Amino acid sequence: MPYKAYPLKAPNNLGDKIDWWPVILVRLTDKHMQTKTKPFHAVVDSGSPMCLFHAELLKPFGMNLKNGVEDSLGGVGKQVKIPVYYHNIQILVGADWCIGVRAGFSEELSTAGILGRLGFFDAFRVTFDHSVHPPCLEISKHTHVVVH
Amino acid sequence: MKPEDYARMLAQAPRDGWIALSEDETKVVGCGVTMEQAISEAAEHGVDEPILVKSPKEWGYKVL
Repeated sequence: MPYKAYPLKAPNNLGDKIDWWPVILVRLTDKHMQTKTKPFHAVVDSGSPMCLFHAELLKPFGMNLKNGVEDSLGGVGKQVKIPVYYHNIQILVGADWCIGVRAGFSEELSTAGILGRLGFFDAFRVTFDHSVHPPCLEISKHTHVVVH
Repeated sequence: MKPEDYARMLAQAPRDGWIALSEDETKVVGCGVTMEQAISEAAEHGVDEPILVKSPKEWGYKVL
C-alpha cells in the first residue's frame, strides 16, 4: 500500500510540499472486542521501540490514563521527554488481524498512533519500499507470534 | 484523489486537534480539539465511522 501524503509547512529542498508517511489504518479494542475505537492513522515506525497511542484513544474504554504504569519517553532531541502510561490493549489491523500489546499512552503525542518494534514488528513482516514513487509498505502476518 | 489534494485537505484543517475524514478519505467531515468533538461533528454529517487523524501543531518533518 502506498504511503499517505501529509502536508509540509514549506517546500523541502526538492520543492515538494508533501511528506510521505508509512501509515496504516488501525483500531484499538478490548480483549473481548466489545468496544472499539474509530479507525485512525497509525505510523509504522521501526525506530520506535514500542507501540504508542494518544491518550484520547483510551477514553472509549473508560480507562484512566494514569492508572497505567508510568514511564517517560525521549526522542532524538536531548531535552524532549514525554510522560507515558502503559496499558494492555488489542490492536485491530484490517479486518482479520488482532494483536495484544502493552502500549504506551500519552497526552503529548503529536500523532494518533505509532506502531513500533515491540508488539507490532514482532507480529508482522513489514517491508518498506522507497525505490518506487510514492513509497509503499507491505505487511503480512508472521506464522508465529511473540506473546508479551 | 491526488496525493497533492489529500495533503492540501489535511493542511487546511485545524491543527493541534483531531480531524475526521469520510470513509473514503476524500473530505473532512469533522474536526475538534478532542477526538470526541471530531467524531460528533462527523456524525452530524452522517458519517458514523470516520477515519481519524491527529493533526500536529505544525505540519513538517519530524523524527518520531
